[in-house]
Amino acid sequence: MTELEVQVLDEVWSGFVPLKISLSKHDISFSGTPLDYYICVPRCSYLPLIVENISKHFDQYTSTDYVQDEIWFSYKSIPLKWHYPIGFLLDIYSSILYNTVILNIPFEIEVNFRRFPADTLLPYKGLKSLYTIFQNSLKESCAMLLGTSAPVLNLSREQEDKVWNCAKTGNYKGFAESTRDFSGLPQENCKLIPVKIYYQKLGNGIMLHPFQASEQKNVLDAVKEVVGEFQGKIVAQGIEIPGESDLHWLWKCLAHPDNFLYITLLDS
Amino acid sequence: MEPETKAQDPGKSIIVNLKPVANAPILKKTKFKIASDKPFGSIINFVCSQLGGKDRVFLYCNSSFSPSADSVISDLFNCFKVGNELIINYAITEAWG
Repeated sequence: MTELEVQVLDEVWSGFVPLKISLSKHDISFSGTPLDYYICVPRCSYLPLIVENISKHFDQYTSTDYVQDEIWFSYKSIPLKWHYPIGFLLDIYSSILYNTVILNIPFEIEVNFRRFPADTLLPYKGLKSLYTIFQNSLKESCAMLLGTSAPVLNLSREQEDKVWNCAKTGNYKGFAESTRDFSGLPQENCKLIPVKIYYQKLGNGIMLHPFQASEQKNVLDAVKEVVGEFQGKIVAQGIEIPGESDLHWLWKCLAHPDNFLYITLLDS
Repeated sequence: MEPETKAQDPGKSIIVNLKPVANAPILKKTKFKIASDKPFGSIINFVCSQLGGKDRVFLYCNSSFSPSADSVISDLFNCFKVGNELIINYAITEAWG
């Protein structure tokens, strides 16, 4: 890793997303207008991690017959996937105005205490669900990179905890210390580049594709390989990405803590 | 021009090879075909039902990670296939971390 790459990673990881959270109108049980809740959360972090604070704040406005593990979030009534990094959710719901990518800041979302949308969200059983998804995502990206997830499986319990804490708090340097065997690898050591692409036009929204690291390709060619002709904007970590950027380099500098590069495609 | 979305081809089916881990019972049928555009959750449900309606099984791709239930089977196949199969290990207790 060059000094510049480390600096980029450090800055990206320490980026925050300002959230403005309002209580879903279906959950307001008492008269009075609930005050919105404002919070800045690390880009790399996840929505379930703020549930405890949120429920304390809105508790007084809603009846108490809810289950903490069934609290979920939505944007304009669309359920937000709790297992996607918050920064990625912000990218997905950004828009294009005058040919410029506009991030919806603050990200105005709703919190919902009931009617968990089990048809669109993965089942959630508390923070253990989030931790399990994160660990498996890390193993999955490692299996793409190296053909085996052994370096992640071989982490000690202490290292695992450290990696998870660094992910939650956006601490790149701490993360890098424990993950040298599988993060920031040079191209010649990688098999497939772990990339997740979100494009609304794809059936499932998000997809994985086996980009061979040896093929050295720019991000626009990579996108075209997956979705065909593409004229819109490519966004990662809230940044509009020039089409000629090298895909492996982007992964190295803009990957999330689960070691996946999350690319969002926006139509102009 | 119609955008070409190679992501999910509903016509295609994929061979899934199920392998038991540790003391998991061996299924009567270990290989089956599944539509490539289905989510991984459909394999989870299938294995649960094959194991006599167990409500929880642990599935792993190539003995290395548990795909999330919303992963698309064709994506997993494209990235992790061995030969022309997607190899899924199943366990009744947690394996591999």
